Amino acid sequence: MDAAIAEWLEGTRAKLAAGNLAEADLEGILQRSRQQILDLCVKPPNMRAPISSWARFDPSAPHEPTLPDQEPPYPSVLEAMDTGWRVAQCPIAKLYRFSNSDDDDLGFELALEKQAGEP
Amino acid sequence: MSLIDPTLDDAGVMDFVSRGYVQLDGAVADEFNQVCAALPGGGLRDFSCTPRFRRELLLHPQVTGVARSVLGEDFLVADSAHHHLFEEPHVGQTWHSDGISERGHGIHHLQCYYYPQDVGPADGPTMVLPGSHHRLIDREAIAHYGDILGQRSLTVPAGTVVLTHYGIWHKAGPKLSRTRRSMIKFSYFRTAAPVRDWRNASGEPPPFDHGDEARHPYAGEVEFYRDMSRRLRMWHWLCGIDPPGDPARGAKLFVAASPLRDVVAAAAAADPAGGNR
Repeated sequence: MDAAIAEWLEGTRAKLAAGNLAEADLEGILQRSRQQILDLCVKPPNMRAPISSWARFDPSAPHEPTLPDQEPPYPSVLEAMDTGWRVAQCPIAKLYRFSNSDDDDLGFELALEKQAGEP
Repeated sequence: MSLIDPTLDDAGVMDFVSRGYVQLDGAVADEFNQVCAALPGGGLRDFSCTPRFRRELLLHPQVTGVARSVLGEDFLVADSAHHHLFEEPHVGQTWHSDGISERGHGIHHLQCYYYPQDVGPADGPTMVLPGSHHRLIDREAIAHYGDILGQRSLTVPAGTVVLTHYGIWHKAGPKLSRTRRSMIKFSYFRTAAPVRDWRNASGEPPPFDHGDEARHPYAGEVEFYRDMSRRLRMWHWLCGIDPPGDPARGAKLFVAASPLRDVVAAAAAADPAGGNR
């Protein structure tokens, strides 16, 4: 968060110096504090494993229909982390229901988060 | 004499067991499609009991042929239908199965989707997850999933009917267009004990063929084995086989094996002078 504030301050000072600072720019820091969630299901609970399901929840994005994607946004959790996503929740295998015969929900699930405006 | 001729053979039934649905593109006549596409949304109880609805859709030979194949003789035909009509853009439904997951591995209920008009990718096509009918879930617990590897959007020509296992995961997909999207849902139900009496079924049931798409793209390693196991149980159930207790059944799901006495006899026949070396 400190890095996000520093980045916002730097951008705002530059605009102030250039004389094009707008009121909307002052709201930027609030925008950056909004959390985004990326929910990923992986086949085995390994951060290098392939992703089987993905959903992104962003309160700052308009709630409008978009066509479904047939490919995951990242090949693995590690590659999502490499773009700035932070892991907020990891799967704990012992908490998953085990059955030798029946499948139920999709694989192991991780929640990743970052702030709106972060790359 | 059977009232309805089954249309699926062993391979067709196995495909239904693996995927959980059969898609009949453009099966229904255009003239009737136009009538149905103009219906108001909501319950169609009266209309679904009319001779025309029954003749053109509920008793359509291709549609009932599939139902006859996987539900057996004398199945029940629903006296109601529901018109799921979307006109405005919307973000789509969340993944769900209808009702509650059915326990066991039989097929008792086919839920059918009939599209009286073309459905394109932006028209809010129904999405299904092939093979998900084998997953017993709390329908609320899958509502947060977004896209799933291997999901299918049912972009179809007018007159298409999709017959699904009741437990399949599905949803109305995102709709970006203002094109009217109709889908009429109706059901068939089993009444008879399962018998392998579908099309061209004679002799001993063949071993289950998992096909070229044996592993669903979203399935993990152990899930893949469980899927194969559940397919076999469903296949045996449909064939009316009560699988005997077999201590090796777990491994034999995945590894071909022969009885010891057959292997010894074959070895002796191949090398009669070899004795017990």
